[in-house]
Amino acid sequence: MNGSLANASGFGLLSTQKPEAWDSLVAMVDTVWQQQSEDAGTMELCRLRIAGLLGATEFARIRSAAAVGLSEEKALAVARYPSSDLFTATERAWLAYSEQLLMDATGIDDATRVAVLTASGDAGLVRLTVAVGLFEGLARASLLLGFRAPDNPRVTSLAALAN
Amino acid sequence: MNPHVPVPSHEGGFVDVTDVIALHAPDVAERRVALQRDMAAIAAGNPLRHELVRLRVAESSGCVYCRNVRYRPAIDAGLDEALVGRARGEDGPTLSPGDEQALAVADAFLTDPSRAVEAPGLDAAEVADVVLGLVSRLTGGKAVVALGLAPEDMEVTVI
Repeated sequence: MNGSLANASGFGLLSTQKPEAWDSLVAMVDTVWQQQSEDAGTMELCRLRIAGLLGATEFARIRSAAAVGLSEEKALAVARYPSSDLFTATERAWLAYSEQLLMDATGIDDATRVAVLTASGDAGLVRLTVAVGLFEGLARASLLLGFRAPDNPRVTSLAALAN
Repeated sequence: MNPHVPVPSHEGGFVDVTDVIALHAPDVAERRVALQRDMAAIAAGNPLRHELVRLRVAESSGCVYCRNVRYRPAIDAGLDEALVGRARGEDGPTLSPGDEQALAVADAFLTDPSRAVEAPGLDAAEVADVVLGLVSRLTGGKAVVALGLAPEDMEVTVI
């Protein structure tokens, strides 16, 4: 490819060049990101925190349609989750785990892991772990490939980000 | 409280992260298997390059299993421990321009994805291959570590 990869068509490069693998990635991401559940807003907060820590501002502009109860005030305050009254104990546990997984997965201590297990059980920890890895990978890819958020930032699927 | 999730019964050895995901989140595991199948098909087109990129990700994630496993198709395509060293950022044999640029893309992805990276030796499909591989490998490697599935030590193992 000629020129910087940042001039590529964002996630559109992946969907056009490798549609089968892209569709599989979309299906996997949507399973943890777009599932209607009581955890959808908490999951979205974790994605936003990871995007913010990586400086992926365009990836941080979008919003999951599944996170219906997440206010914009809270979304924008996510970096202050340790001290802000806006955040619940469960949200703090998920966010702390997500941050540590992003920075150094080998450094996750038992207390951080147990906090998520206590709040959300084994399935919650597994889903969050997979989701955080995917969010980190997508945030990094968004920067590498010059992703630009769509005009309507509330999306129902990762697929919408390849248009 | 046990700080780790239960794992499927096994007779020693490595516990596959996909099996653990399947035990607790079968819908996620089903989609991971589909993605892995697609990524395996992509890697089959250039097993050496994809193994080099996978090993570069393994260095970043700290996954001991990922660092010490080698895939047979890559070895058949010429992978040796000197090339493994190159994937880890050490001096070593000269790589093809395409493989060199694939590792440069991986480096940027893992360290500073906002910096401009050029890869004139890769066509658009090859760039997509590498980026999809990076996202997939990063997710898997981090899950292995975070869920406590990585052994503390492991000999180099060909699978």
